[in-house]
Amino acid sequence: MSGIEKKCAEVFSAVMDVPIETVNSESSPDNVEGWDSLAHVELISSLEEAFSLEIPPEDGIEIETFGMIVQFIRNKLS
Amino acid sequence: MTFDSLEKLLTSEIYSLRQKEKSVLFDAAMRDVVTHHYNHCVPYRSLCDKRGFDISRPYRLEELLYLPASIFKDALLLSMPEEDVFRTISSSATTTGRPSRVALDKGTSRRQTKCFNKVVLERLGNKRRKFVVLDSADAIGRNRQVSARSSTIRSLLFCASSAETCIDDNNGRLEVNEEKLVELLSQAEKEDCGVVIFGFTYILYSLVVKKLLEKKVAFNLKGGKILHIGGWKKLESEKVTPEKLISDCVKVFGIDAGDVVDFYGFTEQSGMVYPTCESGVRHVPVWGEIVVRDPLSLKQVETGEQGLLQFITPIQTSYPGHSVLTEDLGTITGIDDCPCGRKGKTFKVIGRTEKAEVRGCGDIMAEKFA
Repeated sequence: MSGIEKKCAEVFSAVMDVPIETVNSESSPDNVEGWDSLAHVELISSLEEAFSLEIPPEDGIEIETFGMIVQFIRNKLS
Repeated sequence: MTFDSLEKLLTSEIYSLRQKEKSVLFDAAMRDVVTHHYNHCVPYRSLCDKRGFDISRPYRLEELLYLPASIFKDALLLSMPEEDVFRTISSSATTTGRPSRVALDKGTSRRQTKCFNKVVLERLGNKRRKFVVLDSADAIGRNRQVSARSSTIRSLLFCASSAETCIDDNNGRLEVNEEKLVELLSQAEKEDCGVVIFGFTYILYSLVVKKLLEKKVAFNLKGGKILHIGGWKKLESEKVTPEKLISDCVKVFGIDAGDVVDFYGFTEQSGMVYPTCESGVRHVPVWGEIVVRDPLSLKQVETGEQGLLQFITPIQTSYPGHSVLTEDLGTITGIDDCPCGRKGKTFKVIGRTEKAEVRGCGDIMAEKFA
């Protein structure tokens, strides 16, 4: 795991209340039980805080998997 | 199964196309989806065949077979294998006591969420805002059991930066926590943060606006928005019109009248949402269409005439909810001519038919499983 991916996984694991070792690029609302709309709000806010960046809602709704989170953060930071 | 014409339609700007331009894209997507339902939903196919609706011949939208909304109270219709059901949505059943039920597969669920979110963002702006939710803490909490009301509230939270509630639920009796409400709104006024106040129409007016007016408490929340959703039935009995609600919100919250947004939608076409625009009418998005029908003859009426509202959309592929005749009365108010600049058809919802279930649809109901 790269530094960005690891940090994303830590945030994700804390918000979704799932063990970090179960988080993978295919993790999505379809297979992570706690990933509901409210958890999504918390996830976006926590990512904004962790990476000191702003994620507008339009970008936030495009994020559908953990893999997309990592890709999105990478693009934002590059 | 892929729906290329539908996916193409969903990438279009929501309200930028003129009616004629939009129709080309919309009709192509509808034709594919109607064929899909015909091939995958036996009761729907049987109904089409019985009524002589030939899906292979050219047809105009108003000729498309419609299902009365009440049919979803009697049967869980599927256009997919039962094992693909990902989620079932039920209405709150406030009018008839019987909830409508629709089943979603993952594709339909994803599409509905995207369409809903896009419309909300178009109206609210692409900025996450502080939300003051006029409901109890349970409504936004992480519970396993989610009520229809709570589900509606949560669906809007994707554009919230934070969400606070200010209503206490005392064994089912909702009471405003006035101290907390005033504190939250005073803070929002101080921060000038474009706060969103969001709640069900009845709660907004009866528990909040009315109380603040009585107590002569007012705020200056210019730039903020009031979002409300839900029926007008209870307020109508208190003689509160949409115009009165808007003018009282302006008095109490100090926002512009165009920033009081009334959302309309119904379970049978979840994902479709019609907020009022700055000019006070509702717009049909690029992935929707509307037909108004005479309540007795069920024939299409002209623009400006009142009748039952029929909504058409290809976004549901898991059940035949693509053409639904509601029990709501309304009127088409214009096409491509709204002062707000959005294109396409505009409409107003006037209220419910007096008889809860649509008249004249008995033959469809009788035929549904034939």
